[in-house]
Amino acid sequence: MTEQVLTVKIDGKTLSCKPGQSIIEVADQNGIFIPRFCYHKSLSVVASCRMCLVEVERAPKALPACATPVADGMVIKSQSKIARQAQKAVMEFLLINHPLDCPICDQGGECELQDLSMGYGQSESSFYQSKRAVKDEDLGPLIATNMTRCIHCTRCVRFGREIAGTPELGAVGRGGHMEIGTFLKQGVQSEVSGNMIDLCPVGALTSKPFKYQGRSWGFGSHSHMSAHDCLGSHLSVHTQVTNVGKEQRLMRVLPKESHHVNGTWLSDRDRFSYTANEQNRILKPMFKKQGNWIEVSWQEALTLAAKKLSELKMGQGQLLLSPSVSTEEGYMAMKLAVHLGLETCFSMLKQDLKDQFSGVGVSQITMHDVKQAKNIVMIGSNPKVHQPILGLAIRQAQLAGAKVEHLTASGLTLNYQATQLIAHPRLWVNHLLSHAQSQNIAFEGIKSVNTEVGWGQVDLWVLGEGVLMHPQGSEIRSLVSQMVQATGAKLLILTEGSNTAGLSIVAKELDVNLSDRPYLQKIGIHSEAIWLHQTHPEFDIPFNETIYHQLKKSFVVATSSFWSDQMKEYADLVLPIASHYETSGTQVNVMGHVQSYQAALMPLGESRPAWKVFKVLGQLLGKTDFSEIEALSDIQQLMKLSVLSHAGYDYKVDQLRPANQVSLLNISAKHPMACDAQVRHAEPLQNTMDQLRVRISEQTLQSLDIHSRKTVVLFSGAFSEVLLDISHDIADGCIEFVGDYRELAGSWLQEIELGNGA
Amino acid sequence: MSSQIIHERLASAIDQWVNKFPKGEQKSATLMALRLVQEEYRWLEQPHLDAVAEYLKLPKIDVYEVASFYSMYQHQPVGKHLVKVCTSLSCCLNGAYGVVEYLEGKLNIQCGQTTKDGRITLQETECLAACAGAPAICVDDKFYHENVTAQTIEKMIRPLIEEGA
Amino acid sequence: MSQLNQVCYRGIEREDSYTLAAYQAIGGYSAWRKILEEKTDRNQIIEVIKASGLKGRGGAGFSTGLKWSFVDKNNPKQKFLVCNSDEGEPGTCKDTLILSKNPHQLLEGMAICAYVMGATKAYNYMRGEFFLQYQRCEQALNDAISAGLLGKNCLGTGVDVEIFNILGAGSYIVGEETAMLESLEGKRAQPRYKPPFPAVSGLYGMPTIINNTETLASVPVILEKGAEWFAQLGTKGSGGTKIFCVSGHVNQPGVFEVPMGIAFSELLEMAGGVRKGRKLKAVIPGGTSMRILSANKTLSMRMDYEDIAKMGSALGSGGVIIMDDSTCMVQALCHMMRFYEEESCGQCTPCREGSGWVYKILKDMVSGKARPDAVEQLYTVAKKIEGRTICAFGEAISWPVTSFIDTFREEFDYIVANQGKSWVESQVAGAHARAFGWHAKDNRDAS
Repeated sequence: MTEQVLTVKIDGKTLSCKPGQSIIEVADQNGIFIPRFCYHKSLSVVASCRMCLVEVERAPKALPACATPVADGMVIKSQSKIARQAQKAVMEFLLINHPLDCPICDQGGECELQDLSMGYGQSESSFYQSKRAVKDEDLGPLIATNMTRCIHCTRCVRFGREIAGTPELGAVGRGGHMEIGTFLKQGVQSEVSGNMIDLCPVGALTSKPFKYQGRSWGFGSHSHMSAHDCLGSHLSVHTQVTNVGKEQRLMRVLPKESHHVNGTWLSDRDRFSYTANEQNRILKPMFKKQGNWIEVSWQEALTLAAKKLSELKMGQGQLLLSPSVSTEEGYMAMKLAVHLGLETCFSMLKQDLKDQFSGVGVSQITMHDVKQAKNIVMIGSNPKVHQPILGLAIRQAQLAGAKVEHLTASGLTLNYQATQLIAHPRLWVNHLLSHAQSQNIAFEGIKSVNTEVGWGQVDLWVLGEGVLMHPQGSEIRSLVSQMVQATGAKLLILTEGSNTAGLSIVAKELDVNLSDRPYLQKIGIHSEAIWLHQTHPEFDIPFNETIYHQLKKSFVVATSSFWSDQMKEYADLVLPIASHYETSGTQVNVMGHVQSYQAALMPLGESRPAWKVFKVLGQLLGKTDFSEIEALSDIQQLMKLSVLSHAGYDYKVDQLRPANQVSLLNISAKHPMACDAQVRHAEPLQNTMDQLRVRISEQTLQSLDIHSRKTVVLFSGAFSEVLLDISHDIADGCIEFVGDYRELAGSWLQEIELGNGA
Repeated sequence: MSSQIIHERLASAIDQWVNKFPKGEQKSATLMALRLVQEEYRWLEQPHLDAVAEYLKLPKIDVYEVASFYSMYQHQPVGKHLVKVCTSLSCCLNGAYGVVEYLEGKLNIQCGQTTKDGRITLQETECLAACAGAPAICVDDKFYHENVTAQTIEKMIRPLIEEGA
Repeated sequence: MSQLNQVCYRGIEREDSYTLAAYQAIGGYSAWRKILEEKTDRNQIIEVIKASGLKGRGGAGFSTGLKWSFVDKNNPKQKFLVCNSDEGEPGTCKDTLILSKNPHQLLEGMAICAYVMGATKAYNYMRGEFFLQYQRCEQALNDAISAGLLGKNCLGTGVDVEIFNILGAGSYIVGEETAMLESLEGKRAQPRYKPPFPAVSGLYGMPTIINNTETLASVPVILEKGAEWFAQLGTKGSGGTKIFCVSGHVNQPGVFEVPMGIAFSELLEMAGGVRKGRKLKAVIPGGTSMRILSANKTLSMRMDYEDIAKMGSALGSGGVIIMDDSTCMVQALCHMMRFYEEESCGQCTPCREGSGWVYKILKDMVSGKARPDAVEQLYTVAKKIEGRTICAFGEAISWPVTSFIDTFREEFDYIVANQGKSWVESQVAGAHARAFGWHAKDNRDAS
């Protein structure tokens, strides 16, 4: 069947369009500008601002272009007297109560109302009565409000309801007294709340960290990528040139439209992590001499590093590599590690890599597949928290009719409808076997089990951080991938960091066998030297006192952008590295989407891009192949990324190991606001966290003989008293931290001890 | 929390309204649920609104939006009885503001206020659809008094003042 | 004198008119029984309603038969009927009497309409204060269900018509049909943009018909006595009867169900004439949203859709407000606009901002703070709202403002020139400009 084509005329131009399109859509497609405020292509149409009124021949009055569907032969005039009069009237109504505070408004210069008032407004107001004033409310550390400026377009309200799935803002009151707000003055919790700033056409909702920081017309804009989850949202990074072009400042980060990844949206974490860029940075190479840090020159520092590292014998040192660095610098780091005889390990909270999972980090799936899925099963995954953009995609699928089911150890607060099967992690393999059985999928040599999950025919499996860190992660991956092969379903294995995919591809290229566990965790192995690249072990790997003492004994070289308090104790030599936004490179996301980006600004202080540092270090160590590398493009040529990014997966394990029996399991995943050093230093994001609590079931408390009801004492590293949150919504035998548990990051799926509190 | 505010009797009253609407459309019962809660507690405070949201399984903001839109919901403390004088056009043409003034004097309060003993709150209201019986008064959002005069106001107000005293 | 109470108010003189027995005694439910027994063709009923000339009695005056024909009865979706009993247009008090004194006739009308459109569920939405009316309707509904007339499997014929009585919570705009749907869905009563029309996507997105109480209550009588009988009661183009609520400055205000086309003078006479023998100054013929008419325009006016339109206003809801020569038109308008400012839902710009602006200018006028060009500005602002809003609320602001100024310009100019002094106070003996007490004190405008 051929699609019906309609012909309309807008402002004298004859245009063809599809039935069901609105006038404004057709105009936008053809570059005809019709003014608008409430209309947004990603939101529902409410036709309430009335700015897009146009004349339609034979219609008795002007019609809103956003809500009027085209009809064949329709003649539309957006510039006629009738249209202009209507548009000007609406503009006048919008302006009567809008404050004339453009000079002190952050939206100034990029304000839709300001822009349109140039074309449709009058130079003088005939409204001489007092203007409406609206009390502001505190929406939290990310969004600044000036609700007197609000023009009631309700884009923010619709975003919360339709896109984010967390209706928090609403229209309160009615008529001219209607206000947009939370009613309770309690702030917004959404993980994607910053998008409301972008959507707000005026200065009612603006970025709090960006408040009074600069005027947008002076900014340079740079395409970049976010580095805080495995999807890698596309960014537009804005910088300001100061001091006659000599220095630049990172001003803000906005989403860059991308159909492959984030659409027009961005998570708050990706949007506001830029605020860390000048916080606690390592600005000069430094060396610890008899317990005191002294500044050294790059020359001295590199020579010292080369000397120390070259003295190592095979198997006596390890590179702990952040999974969020660019592929190029990861390639150079691993190449250097190979030369030095260092083992490489990703600094992650992973537990089990029997299946060599870290060898491939790409799932053969696209965002489109996710949105089209009909029956989604998510195991140990909470995308709303850990991969917000994926959460929005799952929500879209669910709204389109998909059934979504979660296998989880504790109840999740989701932004879509889903059934949640709450089960202790040691039972997950059993549940999978039971599902396989119900779908007549047989595994050789595995006995039948008796539990009912009722998932039906699954067409998308998502394995999250709960599987990545599960002691039987290999078993779960193996079972699911075999079912995927048998049924043709799609599989998405979420990874930690932003570039596990890219780094594991080049690791293969370099023939690096990634170690499944940091040396630091391996009992009995003492390492002479530890090289930390963009890693702080106290946050990035399962950590305890023993590891800390190991670190203090070893010679620790840190190539890092940020300090940490503990790093000052355990490190011996630090080399300042350009931050993510100051770095050019390439990332590969978990769906195999390859994206290169250019540094948005010059490195701060004496910090340098990591790949350059590693090149010089290689040269100093006498490795001739490092001398040949002159530019980033040379590395890109060497690493042959495009070919390898489509590698398949095979997670087969031969045997199912029994689950560990522990009396009390900590099921908290790494805190989303502690995922990497950049995020950990972003103050506005850190301020979004609630007070630390520990979630546990009544039954578990009883079985532990704990009778306190307000707090418990936690025996993990240091003793601490923690508030209790007794819940039905968590599997027995488990505890989970909620709120601000950054410090307790490293104890995922480990046994934990509790004692009586208040 | 909702079970404390929406106790069994209230819950079953709300359920009767929920059942008037198709399955899954319990949001439709928001207006009446709020009214029933208001009848029980006289005015609506945040915990009441939250309890309705929880009971009907709705986002809280949905309930706040509704509660702030319709004018019969009271968000400030009010007396045991609400006396609302219609001051729309037809009633005004028939002396509605005289009625307001009379009541203000009688109750010794300003329109919008509550008597010291907490018994009566006096308010203005928009057209009650009793224009042929102007001036009109509505007591407790339920009981109409039309063609009111000083005499009938006295008769109307006495039981409200004296009741149970 | 014209015959009263032939359609919606038939039988209401009986003390127990609201009971099933009383209603059936005057032939009630016979039309419904006949339809159920004969399984009357739905199109046939639509044709009768069309032929009767019945038009929507809520205000818009759209042909009822035509409206019914818009719903595709073969559409397998759940369909809904909604009866708009949210009476609230200032000056209108006609439906309240149907609800309290003749509820069965409304229920019968609803059942017939539901049958025609294939709706198995129908809602009767009453304004929140109609508590006693609600109780009457509930009693009537329960009695009719007990008698097998309504509910599931009516009279054993397999026809389901479940009717539910609903109460609102205080909002004028709920009377707008799509706002009523939003309210029924438990939301803020913000009118929807049309298209899509409710007949295609209404309550819960399903095909829906919304009719006024008076419209639906007329249906059983039309079917009992025939389209021709009904049509000939009225005039050509305005068939049947109409309930007029005569209020304001009359000696005996009241509601009168009279044949369409009755002379305005006769209606005024029924209401006892202008009170205290004063002179008639102005008439709002169809609720305060309609344009005001000066007394001289009403002298020979007939009360039907066509003739009132010819005079420059509209029949609207039938709320006829009479003002005598003591009325200050500026204060009256200001007072009316306070109502509209209060009741605007706030969703679309011209109404949200315009209603407040209009009210502010009028307040300035009566408090003597208006600028010399205030009348001109008021007129321009009102004109800028008209035709640019989602629903007819824009016109409900614009029409009164422009018609008051057009008709009584000298009073507006006078009050502006005389620092808030009313023209009637200086020109008319016994004028009482203080009828609108808001200018003395206004508790609601503290903010």
